[in-house]
Amino acid sequence: MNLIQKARMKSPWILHFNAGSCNGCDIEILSCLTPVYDIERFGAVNVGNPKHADVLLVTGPVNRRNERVLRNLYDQMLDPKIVVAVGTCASSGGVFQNCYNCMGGVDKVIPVDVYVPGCAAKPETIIEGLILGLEKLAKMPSKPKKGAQPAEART
Amino acid sequence: MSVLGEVSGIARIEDAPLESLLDALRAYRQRQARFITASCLDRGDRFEILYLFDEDLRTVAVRTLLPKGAKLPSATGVYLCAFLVENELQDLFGIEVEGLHIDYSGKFLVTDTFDAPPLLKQTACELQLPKENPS
Amino acid sequence: MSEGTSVPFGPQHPVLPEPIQLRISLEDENVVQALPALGYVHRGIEKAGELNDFQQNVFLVERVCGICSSIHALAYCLAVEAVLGLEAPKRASYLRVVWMELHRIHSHLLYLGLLAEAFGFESLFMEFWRVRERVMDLLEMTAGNRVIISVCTIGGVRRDIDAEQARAIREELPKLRDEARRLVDSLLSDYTVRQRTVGKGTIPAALALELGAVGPTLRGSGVAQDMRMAGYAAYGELEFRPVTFPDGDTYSRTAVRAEEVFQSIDLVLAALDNLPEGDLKVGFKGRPEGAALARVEAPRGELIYMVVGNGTKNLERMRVRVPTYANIPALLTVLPGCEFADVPVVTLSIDPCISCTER
Repeated sequence: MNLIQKARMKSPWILHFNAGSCNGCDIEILSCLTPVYDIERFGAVNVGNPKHADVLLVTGPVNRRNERVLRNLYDQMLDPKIVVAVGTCASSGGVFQNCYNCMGGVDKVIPVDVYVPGCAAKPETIIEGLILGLEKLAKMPSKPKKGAQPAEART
Repeated sequence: MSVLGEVSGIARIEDAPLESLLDALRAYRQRQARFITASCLDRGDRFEILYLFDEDLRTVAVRTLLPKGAKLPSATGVYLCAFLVENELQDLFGIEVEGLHIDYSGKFLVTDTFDAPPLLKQTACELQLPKENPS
Repeated sequence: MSEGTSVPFGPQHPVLPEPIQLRISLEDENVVQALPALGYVHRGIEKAGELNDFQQNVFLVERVCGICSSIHALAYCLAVEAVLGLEAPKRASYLRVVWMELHRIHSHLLYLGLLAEAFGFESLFMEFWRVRERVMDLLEMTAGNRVIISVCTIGGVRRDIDAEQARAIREELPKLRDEARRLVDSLLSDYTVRQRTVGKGTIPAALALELGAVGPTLRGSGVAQDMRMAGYAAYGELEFRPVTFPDGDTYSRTAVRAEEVFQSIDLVLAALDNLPEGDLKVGFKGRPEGAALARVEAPRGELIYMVVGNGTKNLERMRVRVPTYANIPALLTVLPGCEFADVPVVTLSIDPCISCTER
């Protein structure tokens, strides 16, 4: 593990995107940032800019209109990056099975590294999901191999 | 097809034919009733549209019957706040609203990946994949 | 004088927890027009309500909005109960009040925190959310989940609050009241906060009524209208007066929500004191036939469910009208004339819930 990788483990910056969620998981993600759960003890900071972020937290089943936005955000993030699907509906579509405008899960649009269950996912579970994601991030090379194509959204 | 009979929770339903719909709504406006929303039901060959109002915590309604294919006069000239719900009627029921002040022309809530307006009864709406992938 | 500029605000924006886009036209620093572009959270729940079994719908409507979820379930249950001709038992009605008011406390504290964050008062945001965790713990203790608590069911409630839990709530809420009072006082009396909120986004009472505003947005303009006055569940038997503030600006709307936190605490304690013994739910047979409309007061305002049954297990139509839907026209009317820097604060002041709005 080189210095950059080590530093990345200690300060994973988070980008949060709501892809059609009911808000339940989103307020739990915000709860993670506040003093009781305090995700900042792992160095995680919520940022608004995809170019700064290492971890993409996505909630919601993804609908027809924000599919494009989600793909766009994912493509703007620099490698290495991980995607955490927070909540049951982000993982599989969940309760929104009969809804015509839903894609039924984040993995229908972009590759997902960690699935966090729960409706709404509890802050403890979200933090656990993030830590699992970081373990995966630690194994990723900090520079892409020569000639390798950058990871792209699934088409 | 029948129309709604008594609705528990709605104190009064007043029927207004399509031609005098706006006059009926104007009368509520003059009485300073608060516009709540409009609600639409697919009744086979026509739509049953209820305009709901609040009068001192009681709900009252104006009903109009709209044959399929006919145009609905916009209520935005009477109640501006009706523009949201009328755009929704355009999107989800495929009703053409005439004289809408802020018109999203059917792209208010849904993108144009559906063959038919999703809330119509005959539209089967399972999780269907988009017709073509945008990327 | 520069040419008008058009700025997209959203759909992914640090201030907004949810994706909505406001297309804002600017003349120098002043907003001349704001138009929403919705559809980023539209799922199609009204259609799913027709495709699902009417009893499954209880769980679906809770996911219309995660912040006021149990209140959606209550409104749906009240509507279906009216169609089926059921009446929930006394104890269930009081328990419903307890959970609905706990939900309102958490929602309002969430709003106060987000507002503080919107004008950069980060520490106050953290403090409000720290206090809010006390309510979340109570919800978790009584219902088993933090946000989506699934307590309402058709005919009553699914869980009971036993004596020990009631004692815990009675001990916890006064502590919450003291802490919240300290924070609310510092929020509402702070010089900077007043500079950012007083006189911003003013909605006069007549305009609010004309545009159909509801809930704290309407009460912040001095109109005492609260659906709890209609006395559904057990509200008719509890002491209760709507909170109003006269000015119609962002400050008034915030003050209404802040005072409602304390009002809700009182209501929870009163409901627990008067909690009658009895059954938790009534059984029912048959399928809904006929139509009913239920109106309840969600944290953001009046929430309406209309249910049309046709005698089968699927509903003919489930219509949802949520409070933010009614407040958006008022927001769009007051944004022109604001400075661009105030747009996030004024937008937040109606406490928008986009997942409600688009269903």
